[in-house]
Amino acid sequence: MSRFIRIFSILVVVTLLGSVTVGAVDRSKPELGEAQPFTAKPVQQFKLSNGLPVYFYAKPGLPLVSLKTWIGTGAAHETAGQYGLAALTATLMSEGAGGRDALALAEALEMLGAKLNVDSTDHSIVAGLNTTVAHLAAAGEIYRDVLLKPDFPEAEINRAKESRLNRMLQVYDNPYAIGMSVFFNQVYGDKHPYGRLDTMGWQDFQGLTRDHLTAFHQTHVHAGNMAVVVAGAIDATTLKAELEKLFGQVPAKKAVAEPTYKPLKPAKRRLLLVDKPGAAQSFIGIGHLGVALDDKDYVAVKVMNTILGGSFASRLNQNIREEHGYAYNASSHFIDRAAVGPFLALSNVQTDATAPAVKEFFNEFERMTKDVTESDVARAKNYLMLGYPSAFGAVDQISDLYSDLLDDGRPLSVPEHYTQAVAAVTLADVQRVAKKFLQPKNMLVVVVGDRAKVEKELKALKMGKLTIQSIEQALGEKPKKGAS
Amino acid sequence: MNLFKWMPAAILVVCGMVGTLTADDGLKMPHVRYQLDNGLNVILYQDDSIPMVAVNMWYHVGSGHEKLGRTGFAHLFEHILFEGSKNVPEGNFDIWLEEIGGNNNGSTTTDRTNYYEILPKHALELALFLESDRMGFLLEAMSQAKLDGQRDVVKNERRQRYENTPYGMVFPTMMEMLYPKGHPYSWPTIGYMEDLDAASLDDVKAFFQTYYGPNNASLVIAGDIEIDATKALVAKWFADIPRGNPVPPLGSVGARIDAEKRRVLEDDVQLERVTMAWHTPPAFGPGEATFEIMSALLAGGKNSRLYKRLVYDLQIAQQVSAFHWTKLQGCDFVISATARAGVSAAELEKVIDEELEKLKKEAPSAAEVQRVVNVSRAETLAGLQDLESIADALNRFFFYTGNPDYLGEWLGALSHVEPEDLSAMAQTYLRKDGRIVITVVPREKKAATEGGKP
Repeated sequence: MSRFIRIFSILVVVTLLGSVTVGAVDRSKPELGEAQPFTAKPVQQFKLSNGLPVYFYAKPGLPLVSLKTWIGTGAAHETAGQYGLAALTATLMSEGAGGRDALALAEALEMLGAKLNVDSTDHSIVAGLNTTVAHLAAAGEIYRDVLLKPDFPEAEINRAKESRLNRMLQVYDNPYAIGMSVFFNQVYGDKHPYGRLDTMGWQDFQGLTRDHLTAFHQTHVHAGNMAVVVAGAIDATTLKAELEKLFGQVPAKKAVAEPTYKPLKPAKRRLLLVDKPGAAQSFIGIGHLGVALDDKDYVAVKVMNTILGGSFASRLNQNIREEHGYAYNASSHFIDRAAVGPFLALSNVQTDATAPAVKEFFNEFERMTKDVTESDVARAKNYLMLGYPSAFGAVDQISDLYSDLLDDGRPLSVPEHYTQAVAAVTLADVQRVAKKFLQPKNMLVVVVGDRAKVEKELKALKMGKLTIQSIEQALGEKPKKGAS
Repeated sequence: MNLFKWMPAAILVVCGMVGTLTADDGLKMPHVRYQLDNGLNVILYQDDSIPMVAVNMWYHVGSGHEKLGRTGFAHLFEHILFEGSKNVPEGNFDIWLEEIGGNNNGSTTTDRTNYYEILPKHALELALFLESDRMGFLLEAMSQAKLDGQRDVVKNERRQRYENTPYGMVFPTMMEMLYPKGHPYSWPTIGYMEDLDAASLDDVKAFFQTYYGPNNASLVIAGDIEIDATKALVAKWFADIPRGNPVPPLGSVGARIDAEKRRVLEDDVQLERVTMAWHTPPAFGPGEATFEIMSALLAGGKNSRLYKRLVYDLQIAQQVSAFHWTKLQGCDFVISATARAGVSAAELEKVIDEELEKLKKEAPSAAEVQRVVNVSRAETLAGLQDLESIADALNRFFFYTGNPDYLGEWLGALSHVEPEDLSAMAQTYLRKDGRIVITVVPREKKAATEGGKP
């Protein structure tokens, strides 16, 4: 067989030579020119007459503009018994405002080809508007009403509550959603906003009323707790005039400070298996608390993680996917969060490879603390620095970038300094932060998979205490209507 | 120079959306297009808004070209193409791209396979070297180990996307039910496990030699490039790759559904779901724009008909979607709705049927169609901002219409969909006896309704 192949390939070569003109190409990897350093241009900043800050990134090209109004209050402000209030308020803002009901509001925007979206995070409510420059004034008026004059109709509140309860139910079906929920809960605890299960508090949630929403909105939506991010093909003068018209009159109050929360104390390595009978794969999530966004090692940690699991050619993906074929992919992340996000490595592996894959994850964590080379670091740095211009393609991608910085409580000058900060990271930095920010002996391992097939092998790893839960034990009782 | 800046017409289009629109709007995506002697189609597009370049290669082969018993092979083959070629040692494809700040990926559909890189402009030649090496010199570096490795990865992709995902088996089941056995679209693109197991090195060689010649591919380079210099680089790396044999056409088998086909799937889910699908005319034929608008009219946004009835008014559905699945030999129109807790898929189906009947009987108002057209046009333009999307759109338009610069015509076609077209197309194609219906029910429920069978 192999002989046949060899003969065969010689024939191919002969045919090839026949068709090639004189001076055949040198087919070795080409020498490339010098990379040009890329620095994001500074975001322009100005304030409206009421002090409301605006951040503007000019993006010439298609006549499109993307606005994000960031309101600095989210789930972290919710008290026990009110879980879901920030999200419900965000949802309801576009379900009727300024006298237009939910359908009329949607229709008016659709006629303009504009897209409006209000979302919430742990620290904010963000209202986004994508529109053509020509329709900014018309769409802007509706957008202003959504932000400042939501009607909170009772019928819409009930609709949204029903929808959320059903979405909670769907969490019980999805191994990834189960695994992520459980991982965050175990690292941060029930009380921390990052640790609250998606399904937590559904009984009280059903009792939320229009008064709760109105109060939440009145307290938190004002110019003292807002910032507007804009990216698009518009000039600063026109933009300023439009925004002044829309938001210049919004009163500025003093923002209510966010309560502070502490994650759980680091614990010894332990395993939590959530039983999903019959699952064809196991979700694996491994990690612990990550790095603070203002930590001096933050960028070095990002470079280190790029080597570990932050790109296709990273060690975890090469090991779990390419070498062993256990999974479609594997990755690791130091997740950006204002109050210290987690380190999380994850994959979905075929059931019979569950324990071996967990072992390989830890092999790579250990190797990361011992074996890193100059070329590993150079490649990771180039990957992060030279590909960075791609973050400045579409206008809503750019407005997201800056509103995420607001959400994380970071300065909006971060992109201007990003490539230099990456360039400054050294091999010694990466070696140091690997030892400091990866603590394999304190990691939590969450597995969502078929207990009957994986329990024995996980125990045999002897990596720490193994706890087993059913999906309902892990997520709590399934939501039921009217059970509050 | 950003070529999207071009024409005042573009601004006109977007601004004029409320009013009536005529003509093809004069929208252009100016490009340079030529063919090498070996048949490779080349399309160059300048846009210097960021100092990056997108390289996008389409091979005009997909899962529809597979043989029975080797389903999933086109996609498995796509995976193998990242594992190195004669001058690219295994593993280096990704390493070399990452070390200059590049990203890459690929995807496979029923009709075509695409491969793409996005990288800083100084590194354009690296992508051309990598793409040309796997186009011309793949087999010299092929091995059983590479095939076996990617076979395992793809089997896990199948588990992750389909078997271990709620409702994941709906899509593969839909393909089986829509087309008669042996039809190029009658098996899922991801393939069956046993066929993935059966794929051999001989299959790899035959597939490569049959379908991966330059004459069966089109290369788009979009971004911060100079035309002459780029042409020279393309010639350097691709010109001496020999033309392949003419590519056999897609096996053409008729497909027609004369009686409704139904199947019930059980899954580990809380909420029931109904999915229905019909045949529609081939890609970019007379129905393309109409069904695009139809999908938004039925399930795009709060005011769409199915959303409003099922989710908003009756509150019996959690979600509803509709889309037109564009394929060379024949498209499909798909509607899917997920029930609220305590509601059956049958209840959703009844309301969907009512809405379809209504649409067949009575043309929508001009205002309703205009609203939907405005959204579709805006979404089309918003989806053409980044270089990767622009490059892929040029290749997509070229593949399906022969004209990379089809954007203006496409927007014009969307604008020209008449209310009566929607009713007529619904009458002709969305027939109850011409569809397949899949319902997904919670596992224990099916067991209960079937007398406790496992």
